[in-house]
Amino acid sequence: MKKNYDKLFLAVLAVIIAALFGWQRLSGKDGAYAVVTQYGEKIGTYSLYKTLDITIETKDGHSNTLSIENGQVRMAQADCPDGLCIKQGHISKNGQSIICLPHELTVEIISGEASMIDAVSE
Amino acid sequence: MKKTAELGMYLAFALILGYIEALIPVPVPIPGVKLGLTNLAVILLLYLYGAKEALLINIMRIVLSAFLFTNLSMLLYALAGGLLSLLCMTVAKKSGHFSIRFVSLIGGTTHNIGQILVAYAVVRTYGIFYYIPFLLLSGAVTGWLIGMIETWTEPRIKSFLQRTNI
Repeated sequence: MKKNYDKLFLAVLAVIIAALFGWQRLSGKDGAYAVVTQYGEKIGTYSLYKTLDITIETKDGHSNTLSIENGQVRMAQADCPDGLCIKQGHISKNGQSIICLPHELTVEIISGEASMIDAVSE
Repeated sequence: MKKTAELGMYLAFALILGYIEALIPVPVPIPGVKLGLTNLAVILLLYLYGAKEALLINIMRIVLSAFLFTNLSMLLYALAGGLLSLLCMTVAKKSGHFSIRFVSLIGGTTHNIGQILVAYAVVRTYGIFYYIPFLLLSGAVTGWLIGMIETWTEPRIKSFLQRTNI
C-alpha cells in the first residue's frame, strides 16, 4: 500500500485557494479605470467616475453595453447566449473583471496610479 | 463485442449526464463553473476499464455533445478541460497515492485550469485569471462529490456485470 497523499494535497490546495482569495481581498482597493478589451486588443480605458454607457459590437453584429456609474461598471445589456457577463454584476475594485467569453470581451478594473498623467490631462 | 457494447453504454450514459447538466442552472455567474456530472462516466471508465477506454469515450462524448447541446466554439474549451483533466486523473491514479475521491477532485480542478487557459488564449487579457480561485474551489468541491458518487456506483456496476455474466 503506497502512502496516501489525499490530506497533503487537500492542505496544499486549500492554502493556494485561501492565499489567492486573501490576496484579491487585500489588493482590492477601489479602482479608477475600466479597461475594455475585445479579440485581444484594447478598445479603450474609461474613468469610473464619469457616467457613461458604452456599446461594443462584435465582428458578427452582436453587441454588449457597458454602464459606468459612481465608480462601478456593469454589463447592462448583452446578446450573448449565456448572459453570464450580465449576471456577474457590478465591479469596482482593482483586478476585478467581467468576462463575456462568447463575444471575447473583457472589462478589467485598474488603479489610477499608473495612469495619473492621463487623468490630469483630461 | 461485449466490451464494445459496454463502452457504448458508457458513451450514452455520459451524453445523458451532459444533457442533465445542461438543464441544471448554475447559481454562480462565472464562465466554466459547473457540476461536471459527465466526469462520473469518465472516472468509472478509468477505474473499470483503463485510460485508453476513458480517453476514447471522453473524446467521442465531447465531440458529440458539442454537436448536440452546445456549439463548436465551445468544443475547444471542452476538449482542453476534458483532456487535461483525464491526463491528470490517469497520472494520479497510476501513482497510487490518491483515493478515488481525490483523483476525481484533481480531475475537477485541472478541468477548470484547462478551460481558463483556453479562455486566456481567446481573450488574451490577464483579467481572466481573477477567476482562478473561484474555479479551483468549485472544481475541487464538485470533483470530490463526483468521486464520492463513483465510490457508491462502481461496486454496484461490478456486481451487476458479474451477475448478468453475458
